Amino acid sequence: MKTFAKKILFRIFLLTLVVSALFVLKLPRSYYFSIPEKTDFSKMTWIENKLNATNNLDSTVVFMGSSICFNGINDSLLNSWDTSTTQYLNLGITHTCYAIIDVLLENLVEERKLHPKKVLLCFKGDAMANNIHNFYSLVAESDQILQSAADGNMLFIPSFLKRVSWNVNSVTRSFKYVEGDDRLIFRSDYGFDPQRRRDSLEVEKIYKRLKTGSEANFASIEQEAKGGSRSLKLRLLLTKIDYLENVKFQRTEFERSAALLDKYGIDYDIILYPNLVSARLGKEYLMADYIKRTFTNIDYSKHEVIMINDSAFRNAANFVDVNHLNPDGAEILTRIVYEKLNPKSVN
Amino acid sequence: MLFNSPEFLVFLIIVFIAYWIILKDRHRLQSTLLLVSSCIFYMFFIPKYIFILFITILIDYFAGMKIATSEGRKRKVYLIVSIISTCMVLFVFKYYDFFVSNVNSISSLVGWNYSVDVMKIILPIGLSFHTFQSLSYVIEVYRRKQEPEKDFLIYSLYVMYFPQLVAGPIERASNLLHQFHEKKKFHFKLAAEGMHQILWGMFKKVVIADTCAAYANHAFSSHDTLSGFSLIIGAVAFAFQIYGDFSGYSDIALGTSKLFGVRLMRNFNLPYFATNIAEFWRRWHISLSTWFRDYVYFPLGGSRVDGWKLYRNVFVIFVLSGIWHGANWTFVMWGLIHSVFYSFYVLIYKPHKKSKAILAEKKSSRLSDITGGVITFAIVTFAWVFFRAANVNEAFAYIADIFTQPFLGQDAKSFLRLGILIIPFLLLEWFNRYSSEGVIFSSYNIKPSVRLAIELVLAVLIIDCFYTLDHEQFIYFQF
Repeated sequence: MKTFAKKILFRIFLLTLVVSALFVLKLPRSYYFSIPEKTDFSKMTWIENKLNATNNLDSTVVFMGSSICFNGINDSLLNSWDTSTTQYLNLGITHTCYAIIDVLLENLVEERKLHPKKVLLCFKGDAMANNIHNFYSLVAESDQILQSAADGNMLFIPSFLKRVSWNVNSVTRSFKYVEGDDRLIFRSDYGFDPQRRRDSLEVEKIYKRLKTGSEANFASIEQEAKGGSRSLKLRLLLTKIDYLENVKFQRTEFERSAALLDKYGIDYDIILYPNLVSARLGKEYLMADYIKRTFTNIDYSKHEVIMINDSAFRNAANFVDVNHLNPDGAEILTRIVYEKLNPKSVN
Repeated sequence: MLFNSPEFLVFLIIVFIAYWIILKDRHRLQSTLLLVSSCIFYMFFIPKYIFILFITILIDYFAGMKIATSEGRKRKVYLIVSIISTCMVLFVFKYYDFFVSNVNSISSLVGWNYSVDVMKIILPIGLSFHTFQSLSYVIEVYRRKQEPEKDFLIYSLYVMYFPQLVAGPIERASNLLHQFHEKKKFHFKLAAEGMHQILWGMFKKVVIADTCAAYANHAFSSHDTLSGFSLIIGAVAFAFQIYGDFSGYSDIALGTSKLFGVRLMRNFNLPYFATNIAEFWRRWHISLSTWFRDYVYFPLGGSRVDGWKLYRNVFVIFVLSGIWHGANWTFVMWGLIHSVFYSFYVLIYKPHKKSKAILAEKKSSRLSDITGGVITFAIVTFAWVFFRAANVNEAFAYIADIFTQPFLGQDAKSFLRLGILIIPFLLLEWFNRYSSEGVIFSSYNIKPSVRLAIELVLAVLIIDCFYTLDHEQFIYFQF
């Protein structure tokens, strides 16, 4: 048994050495960003190409977030409405997380020295982003991935091994993939991509299915907000969310992003996206309170938490599911955001 | 919990340590640990389904005892009750909806106003495997080839043993039960062999099967837009996907079991090197083929009957084998195709008329072996199209597109790249053909440093494909 254990440990040691060497290998950035080009995440490649062709963002308002941002803010419309020199750019990516937003912001601000006029950081209306995006290890540098361990990334080992995999993939991709689907390449002058419409009855079905979970989530946020002694159930739930779902790490990454923008004097606000459940329950304020309570390093007199409170978002006809807007919903949201950003334009 | 998941790795380490270190030399507790671990493993899928498994275990455990202690008609009654009740569970969960939807279709065709609702129940994982394993036990007891297992814990472990619980091999009581009774001593060689087999199985699943899946999925989902050549490669990709997937699973199962000192039967023996269809079936899913041979084919008379009965027997076992895989006409078609080609083989060679010695003496040249191998692989791959397609019409459309689409197109180059993976894999399998139970390089006297290097390369490739490809669930888990 001892011999067996020794031999296994020796092999684990050797494998660790090999994968560590593969982990630190640095391939050209263009290689990493070419990978998502023909996938559902092709917006990443689009962003990289867009930024490569951009000299400055001094008069550009940039939106960063997940699919709710990607499919919710129509930057084409914003640019057509705003007749001033201000430009708008949607950098939302499907299924993204704050860890990805943070590494993209670091690249934007520190590597490329592109300092937007304003950054709008987008939040889901019912919960924090959790886990970690599949392509985090693709867009993050190896030192950023190592840093994520110090920041409490519970999925550090998969993130580490994914980076190793993407590096090995530079050799093995010659046989691993069939030609990707050209139809998946995101081609647009703007960063917005509308969701496909879905029948309202279907959306109502999704709403019914997810309502209980969202309500439980809101209840836990409310209970947490009350302070005082927390029940064991709530403590277990919060521990699960923080550690097993990696939310604590996502919070840290969001704080890093806010701190980075503060450091470079870049203006930013936080937008809370419409959610069908919270809108119907009239609990849009919950996430706004949560943000203010949680991210105490942010100066809220300078940075607004934009809460979307509009009857349109109680209507399933504007959604494709409880979080994602259809083109009509996106237009309404874009209009509201535009008016919030440009109060004088209301009249 | 899938074998290729990090959860399984953690689970296996915990059970292994508890088994050999904490419960060392405490045989009864070791068996209890294996049973408890098997329950946990099973409950990772749909926890409540463990009660179904428990009921079948209970029925067959008592049926085995009753059969052994009864005589005459009573014995038969107990056997029939046991078989019907075990098969009833399988029918309800696996075949009821298929049966009802076909009855509904027929009734609407003939104009009857008759319709029964389907149940849409999720199939308990591995149901067909442990059902067949339980059936084999009661039949063997009935045939007096197996003593009934009196120890309920050991019998439960026989049905539930987690390495082979969800996708086989379908073990025989005579091979497994006595191993659970034996006191276990840790054998370095067996455990090391197990680790190598797990590594090789993971390679086959994660690198070979999941890569081939990308090609096969693309071909089967877009067959109307691809060239004929790409569609042929797409079908070949599925042939290697299902082989890598299922034989990879079996290797992991056998390897995992060896870590606990239990040897399971070999389930695959390089099937794609078979030189004829009969040989293919002696090499593919051996535990199922031998099950049908022993409990269906031989009782029907096997190859010793003359005339049409021989072809009937071939037809029955292949159609049953198709239905065993799933409640879909695609599987029935798959079985039918094999029965046709097998019958053709029987017609040519008439193995029941010639003695085995004559067949053994039949000189085969390397060229005829290669030709036979290529033809057999083509037949098997053709049949896989039906196995993979969503329905029979899709399968025919896929085959029609091979001949009607332009043979070469822009996409062909992309599909051809699969050869970079498949050809070295086939060469590895060929060089590995004399290894014991297919354990990689076990028959070669390779320098330890070279062996270590191979292990590291395989491990890195597994990590690479695990994180950069879509994970396909083990295909045979659905059966």
